[in-house]
Amino acid sequence: MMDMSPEFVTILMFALVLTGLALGHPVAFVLAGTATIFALLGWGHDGWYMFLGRTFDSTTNNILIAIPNFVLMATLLGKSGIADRLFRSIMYLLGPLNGAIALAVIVWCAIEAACTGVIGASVVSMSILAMPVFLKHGYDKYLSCGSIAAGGTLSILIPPSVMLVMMADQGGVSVGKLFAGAFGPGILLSVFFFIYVILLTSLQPHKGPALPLEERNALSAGQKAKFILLNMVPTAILIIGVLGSIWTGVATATEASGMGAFLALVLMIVYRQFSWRAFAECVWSAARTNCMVMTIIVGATVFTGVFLGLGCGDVVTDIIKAFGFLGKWGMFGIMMFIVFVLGFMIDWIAIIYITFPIFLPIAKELGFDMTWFIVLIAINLQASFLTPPFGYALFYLQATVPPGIVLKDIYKSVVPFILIQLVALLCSILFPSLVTYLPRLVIR
Amino acid sequence: MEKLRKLLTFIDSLSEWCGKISSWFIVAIIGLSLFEVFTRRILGSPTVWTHETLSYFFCASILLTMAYTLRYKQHVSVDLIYARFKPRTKAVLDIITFIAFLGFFSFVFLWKGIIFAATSWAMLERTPSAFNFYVFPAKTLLPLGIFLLVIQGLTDFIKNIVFLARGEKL
Repeated sequence: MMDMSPEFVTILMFALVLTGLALGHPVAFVLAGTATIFALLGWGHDGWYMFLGRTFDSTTNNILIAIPNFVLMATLLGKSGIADRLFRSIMYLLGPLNGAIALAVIVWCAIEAACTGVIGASVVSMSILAMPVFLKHGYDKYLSCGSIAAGGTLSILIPPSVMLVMMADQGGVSVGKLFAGAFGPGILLSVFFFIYVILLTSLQPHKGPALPLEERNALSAGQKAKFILLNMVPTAILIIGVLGSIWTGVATATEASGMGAFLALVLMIVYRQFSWRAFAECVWSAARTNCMVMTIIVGATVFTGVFLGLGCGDVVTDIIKAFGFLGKWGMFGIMMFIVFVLGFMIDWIAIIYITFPIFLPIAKELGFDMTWFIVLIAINLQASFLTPPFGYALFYLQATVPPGIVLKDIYKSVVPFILIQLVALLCSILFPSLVTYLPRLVIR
Repeated sequence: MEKLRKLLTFIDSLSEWCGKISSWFIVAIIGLSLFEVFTRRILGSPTVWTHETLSYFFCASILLTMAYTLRYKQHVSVDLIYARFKPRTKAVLDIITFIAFLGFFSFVFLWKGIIFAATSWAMLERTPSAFNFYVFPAKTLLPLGIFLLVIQGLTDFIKNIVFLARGEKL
């Protein structure tokens, strides 16, 4: 092993990871297993000792504690039934427009994204809620699936976001600053999705008709206004409570996430959905999601420790620096390209933990603003939620769509939305203040 | 065979109960976060112990639910190719990947983890913070969690072997 070149080791390590993944073994275990094998080959069994320190550091990390809190918050909100009411409120508001239901899905997803930071919850609950409505009104299946999948991925970009928490942990930028940085691009992306649906349905109205008149007039204007207010206000309080307390410096991200979960519990009680049984189910399900996420983090940190230790990080750095003849934007481009391509191969959590220790020093050396650089990787990674094989949004959608819609339809439905995401990425590169303006106003 | 079945059921319920109980550490984390905001922002007198206690609860909520999460097959994997295989092929692949990945690293983590925890016990290690609490309870969670994970993984391993040998599902 010692006489193998680091280039060869790099290829072997990735090959083993990809093989393990292709054979259907869980991501976290494949990463940890690969690290175990290569540490033994490289250093003998003494190499293994660092695994424990790394695992202990990740599992007692004070920034990452926000993750279980945000996950539980999302689960509780899902059970509170507020999603259903919010969705209907927005549909009443947008009813007269062409493509009303798809537009409502996107607006709802953007609002939901500002409440929660995990993607699964919004795609699943949106699909269960909106799919029947889409079908009933004869919406185009590609528009239906695409808007749910793409809308659902907004929750990973619009703060609070579990992904940004991890990036803050790895990137040495505060959670609050990253949340502020991703806010602009997140809203921009929602607006782009919205405009796309409006354009599409005004050119081809049969793909997404407006809400029929009798449905719009089922409630009087006063009833509608009351319904909308009653459901929007608690949501607004929740959003302002969590993001506001982080940005004004009242609470750390961890504390704010705890308050968010508590507020979600209060909403569950207010909407009369609370029972100890339901609460326990939420806690258990959140614990499993949290464990899944954290196990991948542990696997990825252990993997990265071995990967860097064996000199493979330098190999990647050399590859990137080889593009130095194109200037700093050439190197920037190749880093973004690597992240995008890795999105087709490995899990997003693993991507963050493997690429950050290699890319961030280079970005710093090139003089990029750190918050901006990290947010751009976040936008880039967001697309990976829509690309197979690790397109989580696609899995969640596939699990909930009615018969008659197959995986191929779902793949096809997200293509225009992925292109829009690339446009948003480009906008954030051309107009960096989209990202950097808000973080400057934020205290922590 | 009957004894084996009983043992497997026992491991399943051990993972289940351990996981379900440890899940409540998340609720404790939320409660403690609120307490921290209250004491620091409203009473103006932060306590020294919340910070580390939070990390240890977090540690427990992850490590002691690994087996439980595995029992529900919720550790993310890609089944794009895997899902197309026949049950027997799946069983063979699962056996191979268990030995190569989960089984191997669990063995290593368990072995080194016991040394890791034992070192901490031997010197009655404390944190260098104002709270100055013992570290070994948290460090002990590591080998404990891995142990639970690997025996849960072994139940699937055994089930697969029995399935291949006798064609019956345990």
